[in-house]
Amino acid sequence: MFTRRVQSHILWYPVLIIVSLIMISPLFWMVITAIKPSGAVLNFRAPILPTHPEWGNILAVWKMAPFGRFFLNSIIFSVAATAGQVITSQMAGYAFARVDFPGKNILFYCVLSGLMIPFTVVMVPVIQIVHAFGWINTFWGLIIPNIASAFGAFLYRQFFFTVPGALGEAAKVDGASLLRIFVQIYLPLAKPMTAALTVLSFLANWNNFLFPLLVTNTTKMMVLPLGLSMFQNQHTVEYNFLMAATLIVVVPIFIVSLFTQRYIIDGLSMGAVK
Amino acid sequence: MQSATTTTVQVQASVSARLNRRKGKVKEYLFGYLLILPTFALTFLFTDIPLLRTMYDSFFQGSLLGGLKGYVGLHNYTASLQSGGAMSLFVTLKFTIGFVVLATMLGLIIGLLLNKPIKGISLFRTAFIVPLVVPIVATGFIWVTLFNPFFGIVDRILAAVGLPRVDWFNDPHAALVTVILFSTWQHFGQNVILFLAALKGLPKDLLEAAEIDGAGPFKRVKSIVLPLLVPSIALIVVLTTIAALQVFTQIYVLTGGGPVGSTTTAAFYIYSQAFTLYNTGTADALATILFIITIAITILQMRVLRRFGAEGHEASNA
Repeated sequence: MFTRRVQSHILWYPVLIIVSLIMISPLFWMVITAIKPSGAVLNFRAPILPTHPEWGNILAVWKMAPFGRFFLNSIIFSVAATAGQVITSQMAGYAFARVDFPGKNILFYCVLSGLMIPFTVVMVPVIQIVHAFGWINTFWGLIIPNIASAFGAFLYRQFFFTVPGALGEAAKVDGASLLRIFVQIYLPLAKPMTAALTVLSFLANWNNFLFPLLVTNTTKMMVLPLGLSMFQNQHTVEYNFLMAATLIVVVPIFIVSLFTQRYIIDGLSMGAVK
Repeated sequence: MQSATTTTVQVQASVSARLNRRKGKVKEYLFGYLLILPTFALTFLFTDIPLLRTMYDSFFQGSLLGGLKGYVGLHNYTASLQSGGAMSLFVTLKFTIGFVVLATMLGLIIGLLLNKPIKGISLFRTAFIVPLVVPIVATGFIWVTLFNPFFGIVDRILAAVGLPRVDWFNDPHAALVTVILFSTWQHFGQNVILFLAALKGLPKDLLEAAEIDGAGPFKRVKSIVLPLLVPSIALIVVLTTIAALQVFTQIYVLTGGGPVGSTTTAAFYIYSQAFTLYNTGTADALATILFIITIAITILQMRVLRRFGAEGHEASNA
């Protein structure tokens, strides 16, 4: 049995290594192209690995577009939207699972509709509403429509259903207020889920492209993915610069996700497997 | 006399207790409403009302920011279907089928391969997460350079082994395939993780018993693991389909909907009609059609899922 297990592992490894390399090779390609001298990129016969790496490309590109501003905008937008999504989801999920009030089911279905109606179906009126509020090119316009999450509310509801109600009853007898029972007794129990949802929401907001594309059109208000896509429009042919700009965008979020990998995996499997 | 007093006192006590309880109830109701208020109000304002507006506006001549002009009946629907809307639905269908089949199959295969206590497993898992966590705009640009027909590494390899080079993004026959390949590479790590989570939940004793009985790895997968996974496979197909019907960013970055509309999905059609051509009427009409299709597919798949789910449950009981 031991030998059979070893045999099957010897079979798995090459397959896994090849597939993993295919998965990450585009990132190597990005780095290689980013440090190529301008003349070498379009040369079909030039060696694949750059003979004289031009690390200065990255600095040059940083100066070509206001990447610092893009980073700042992305941080403001992602942190605010994520905090909003997590807090409002906790509140709504707890209320739908553990608090009694009339009309709960109908209200829950209204919230659930947010999970089932695709954004692309409603984007035209949503942008008309954002425009009517005078929120085009503002952080309000970016953030406010994104601070509720039907998915998050649904997850917290599922979670709080599994927590025994006796905990709250006992605290109630001891004279704890409704808010206190929620914040001090029930919320701490959801910590692992909160961590996973925070990481996942942050990634989704950080990588969101369509919504910022519709709400902002000035360079000053652009978030990173949008800034990168506009960068390409202005520097069409210089692929080494395009890859250097891509590298500036990829590296920070890549590092963040290495440290939060566990929560990403937890978060992704949370919604589907119960 | 005395008994009457006690009754009064008792009645008073029970009335005030009931009042207190009602006051407590009202307080709880208010607390509940307050907690759901942000989520409810925002969903209502930015999803429910817009959905009704999309459907209503689809019967009017309208402009993006100038309001509605006049009732035009079904004109927007015919105009939208004739001006590429029908083709965009067909492109969405082709994309969905290709993407769902590839992303689910590869997710399952890699999930099975990774479901082993082998060394360096977390390193392999990281490789599948990377494309998921990086902005699609960034990975899209990487692919654009990778698959460039003049200097991209892919065509260089094709040329080196004597195969004809492909103009991945500009050939109408190849572009949608390239977009499907990109989307699969970008997304299927999520399916790997979902399958890994499902595999972890399988009953271990059943698999061990089969191993002791001498069933090889392929036989175990075929006759035990796969039947037990059917509910998870169905769910992953549903989730992947919903993602596929929405596909936008990769189209915007990789092909801009071209060449000759061969990669214009429904979502991209709605976007370009409304936000570059300002034909909000045709955009609303196609959005309504897309909504109906999405809901129909979701309901259908949920039905199938429930049936598979029930069967899977029976199988695990047996």
